[in-house]
Amino acid sequence: MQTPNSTANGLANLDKLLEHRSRLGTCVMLADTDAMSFTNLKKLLKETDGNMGAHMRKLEEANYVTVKKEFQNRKPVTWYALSTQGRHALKAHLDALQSIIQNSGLT
Amino acid sequence: MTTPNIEKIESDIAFLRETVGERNKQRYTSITISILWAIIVAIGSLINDFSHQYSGWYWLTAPLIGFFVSFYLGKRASRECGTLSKADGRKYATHWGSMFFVFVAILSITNVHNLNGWVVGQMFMLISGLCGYFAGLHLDKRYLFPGIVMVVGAAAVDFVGPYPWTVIGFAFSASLIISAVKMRPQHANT
Repeated sequence: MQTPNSTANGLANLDKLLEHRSRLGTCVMLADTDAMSFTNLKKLLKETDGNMGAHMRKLEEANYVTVKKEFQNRKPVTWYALSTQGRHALKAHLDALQSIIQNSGLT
Repeated sequence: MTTPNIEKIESDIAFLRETVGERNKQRYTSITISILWAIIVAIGSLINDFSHQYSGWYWLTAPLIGFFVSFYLGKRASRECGTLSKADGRKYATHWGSMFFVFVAILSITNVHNLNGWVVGQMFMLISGLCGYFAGLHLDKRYLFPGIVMVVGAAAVDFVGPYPWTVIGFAFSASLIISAVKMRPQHANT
């Protein structure tokens, strides 16, 4: 049953930073692993270097992800991992999404 | 105002589902692991036919060494792929490691019933083939075909001549390499 007020509340509880699908996708994939490389995230999310870099910078500034840089076969590789803060933010955002979906009658 | 947002959420969820599905497809082990086991099985099958007095020692030690080398190679492949996951590593190690418990049980049955080496070899092949088949179903599709080859080979070894272990062993090694090459992963970091 649709309740417009609760749907609106759910929308208000959404994390602005995670409203972009690439940033949300990044956090979802990092939540399921220990770390992922920049190149792999970019490839999976079908983003360009520049856009992906901008998204990761925003997540880094919000302390949602931690960064580790290293060399692999003489090539620089940047690894990202989801921080505890990022994990909490993702959970809250997904809970808000779930609430919106339930209240809007979508399955 | 809420309707377009709901549509966006629906679209984002569909995108997430597709992306996570793509990531799950990346969970392929290193091609080097397939080559390593193709070599281990090929050498072992030659020993079975031509120097069978060493078979027992070979099959007790080579798979154990292969297991630890595979663990190292898998870890390296995971880094090259651009995804680090201890949970995935544990899943693979538990699956393949459990084979050793089964092998200990086979050795116990062999000892109690005084089974001959030929039957023990067939039992090892059958269990290894089943383990490979289930790995193909649940972990990595590349082991599906070699698993079937080994299960069929376990029965066929009684009917193939004149060097049955070599023929079946080489057929398995070939299936392992063909399967690994056909479904070769594209590593993100390389």
